[in-house]
Amino acid sequence: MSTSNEKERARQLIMAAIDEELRDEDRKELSVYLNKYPELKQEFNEFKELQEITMQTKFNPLPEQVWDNYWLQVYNRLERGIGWILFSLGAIVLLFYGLYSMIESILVDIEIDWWVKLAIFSALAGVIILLISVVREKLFLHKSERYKDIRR
Amino acid sequence: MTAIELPDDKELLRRSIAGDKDAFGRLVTRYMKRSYYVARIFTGSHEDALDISQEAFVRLWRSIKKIDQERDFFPYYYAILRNLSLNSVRNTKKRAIPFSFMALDTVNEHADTNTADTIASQSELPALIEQAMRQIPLEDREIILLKDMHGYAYKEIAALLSIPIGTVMSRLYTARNRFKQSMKEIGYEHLE
Repeated sequence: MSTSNEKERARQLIMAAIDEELRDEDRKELSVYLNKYPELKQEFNEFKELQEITMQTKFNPLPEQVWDNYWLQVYNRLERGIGWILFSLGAIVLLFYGLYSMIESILVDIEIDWWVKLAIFSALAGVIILLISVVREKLFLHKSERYKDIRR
Repeated sequence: MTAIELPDDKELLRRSIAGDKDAFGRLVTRYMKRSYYVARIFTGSHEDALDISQEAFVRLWRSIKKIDQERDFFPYYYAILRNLSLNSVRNTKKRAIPFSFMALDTVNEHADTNTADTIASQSELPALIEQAMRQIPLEDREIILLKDMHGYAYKEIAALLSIPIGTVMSRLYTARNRFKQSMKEIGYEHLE
């Protein structure tokens, strides 16, 4: 094994040693490396000291009330999720019904000039095309996003 | 008097998959503290950690039918929590809000409290750790605190991060080395 590979291995073993996860068969190997590379012994001591500091580090405890309400808050979110789905479904149906009624009333209204009718339909058609385009783009991007499953 | 046997995680997960919200609630209650404090590692803020840890439970519930009931529950949850937390941190950076790290409370039960120097360094230590932690990459902070603050075993960290145990050891070395350098740079002089 090359020196750099030995040191790499030794550093893994140092981590295992200070975390008390060193297997019996690795102890002898680490001891050999520590004798061979004195600078690693120094690293070992520094890491040990550093770990004593980080292990004593705790977050300030939260009031019990936070935990008492925790599940209730999650439950409320679950319930609201269902509420939003139902609301969205109803709103979409009502929106399309409203649009249909509006188009129907414009078509039969003889007092509205033909060019106003044309402008209204043009604006509506534009909105529909833009909406479809945005939805299609979102769907396409989601399907072809190469990194969507990669956890960074 | 016989002790009441509490259902284990697998049983609660099985019942949750079957649509039992109470069982899911018990899982949430069992893991809420751990979840909150893990989210706190990433976000630093209490409000964000609470919000993200709860949102992760909601997302888990929505996709619970896809979970393999024979596997451990927490790694599934952790993957969702981690993604939400990283997104939140990225968005926070985009909004240019100063990243506020944790309010650390260092418990120095075993430290020698006799000298004035020690007392001074003890009171400064949480701030130094906070500052040093802020200077290292998020992934480094994550693995150090999963090990040293939460006390996860290598095997558990490997499962949570979906990496081999050897990589856990290497990443811990890299992370701790950066943290050590960071501590030295900000003036912590005891690492000799």
